[in-house]
Amino acid sequence: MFELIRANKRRSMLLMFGMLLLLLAVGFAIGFALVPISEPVPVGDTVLLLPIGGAIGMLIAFFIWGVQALAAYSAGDRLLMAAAGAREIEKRDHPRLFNVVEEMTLAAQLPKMPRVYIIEDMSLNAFAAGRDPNHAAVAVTTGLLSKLNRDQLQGVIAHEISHIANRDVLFMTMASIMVGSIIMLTEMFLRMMWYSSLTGSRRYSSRRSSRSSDGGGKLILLVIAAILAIVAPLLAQMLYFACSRQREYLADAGGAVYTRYPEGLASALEVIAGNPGDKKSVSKATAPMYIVNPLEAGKRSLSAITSTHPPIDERVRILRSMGGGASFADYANAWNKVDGPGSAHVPASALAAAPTQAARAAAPSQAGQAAAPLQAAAPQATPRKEVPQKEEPTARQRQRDTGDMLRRMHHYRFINCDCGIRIKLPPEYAKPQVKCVRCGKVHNVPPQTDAPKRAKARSRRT
Amino acid sequence: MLAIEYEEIEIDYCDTCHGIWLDEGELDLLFGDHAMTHGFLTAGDPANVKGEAARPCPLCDALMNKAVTGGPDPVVYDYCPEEHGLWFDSGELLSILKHGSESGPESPVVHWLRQVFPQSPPTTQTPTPPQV
Repeated sequence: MFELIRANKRRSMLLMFGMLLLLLAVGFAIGFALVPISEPVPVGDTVLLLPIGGAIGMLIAFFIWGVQALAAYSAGDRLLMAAAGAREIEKRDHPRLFNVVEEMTLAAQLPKMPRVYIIEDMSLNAFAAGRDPNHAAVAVTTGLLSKLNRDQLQGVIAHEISHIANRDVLFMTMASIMVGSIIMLTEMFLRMMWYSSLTGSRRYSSRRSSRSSDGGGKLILLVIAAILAIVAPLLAQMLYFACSRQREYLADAGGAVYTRYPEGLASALEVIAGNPGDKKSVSKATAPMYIVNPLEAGKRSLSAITSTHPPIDERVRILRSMGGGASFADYANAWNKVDGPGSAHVPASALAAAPTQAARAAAPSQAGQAAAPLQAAAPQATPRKEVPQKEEPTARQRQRDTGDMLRRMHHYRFINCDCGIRIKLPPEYAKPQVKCVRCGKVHNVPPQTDAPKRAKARSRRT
Repeated sequence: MLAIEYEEIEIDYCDTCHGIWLDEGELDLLFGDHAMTHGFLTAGDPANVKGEAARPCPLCDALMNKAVTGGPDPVVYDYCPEEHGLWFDSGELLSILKHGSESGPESPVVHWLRQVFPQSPPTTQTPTPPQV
């Protein structure tokens, strides 16, 4: 996939450069508008007019760009996770999710396991962010955790892991943060305009004479703000076009290859598509990063051309047309079959490198299994440890696991009564004792020892 | 409110007023035959709804709507307009426990509630001081 990786790096550079130019232009315009003075600077025998205000504006713009770029590069994934309201979890919080991520990390031969985040939301979605495979993170919603079975979860995680392996995350993280900060700057300018027009009272400044000359500057500022306000959503839209469709197909292909079970991802996509409910806290800047576009949940059947993500039913159809194979070549064939010949764009190196492999059979009753993700493409990879597999948790257990994880994260205390009742006490519960509703046994409420420690750990992380 | 889990079903229970909250997600798990239970829950005559003050939903604080169950002793309960779940006051729960099975074969939800609350939740007990 080296072509893809190189293209992603190149595109990220281009994006940063374009962003720099845009900001410099804006900085110059604002600076010049505010301080329309030009200093004559003699260069040799010609005299150049140096616009002081413009130069300062450009300097400030360069500084802003530097901060942005640094932030996006060094902490992009953290920023995005924070923006999505995601919380990092540890293995003990949700072992099943961690196992799946570990398996897929091995299958994709990533050097390091991405950090795992949880988004408290009952909608079904997931995304990945980061700079490179060494600094990456995946986030899934709690709804996803409780609704998908292991095979489906594996498919979704494999899809996200292939975004990381293909370096899609670099471009997408950069782009989201850049678009996000443009939107922020726009807001700032608009507010600046608003307040400067309000506070420009003549009562104590007697600036009546200068107002007329000031007006021109303000007008320009206003025009720039207006232009930015138009450009920001357009940029977001361009981002939609740039990142999306092909990468999503390739990530689907990766998902099929790493799990060796295309049906897992296919059925997961179906479940996700069939589940109503938009995610609440999604901005336009981060929408393209999710496995299905959270902003298009309502109109998912309309497969508009402007869509970031290929229509789900098409993705499912391709995955199901792989005819028992589970290699990039099989995916490319299926893609051609579904969308007509010549539509598949799978990098040649992927077709050449990955040997053909057969999909594993649908996991029988003991499906927790999730048969070892195939390592034909990675013969030297660490062999999977043979751990005795637990049985696939039922829908109830999945929902319980996820709910309990959330309750633990919110410092609930758990009491198991001998009669089979499990009592979960919120941190606000102040009584010293609690009576079991079933058998009437009175339990002492354990003190809250866990809460301060974990709260500290969280604040350290953020 | 504290959460009570039994046989992998969870409800929220107030140990001060003995009301219970059935979360929307839990309802799906609890109702084996969703259609039948839904039928029982909505069989009542909405004309019976009167006098009770509207309660806010524990999740979203929106004022909940009232609905009436079927059976010989209809119960007025609250449901969240955003479909977050159902709220039963203590006495309402008792009544459902008593009459739930008379409206047909015992539904899983009634069976489960009987398991969890073998002695019906007390309604005349001296009220415990309100807790924060």
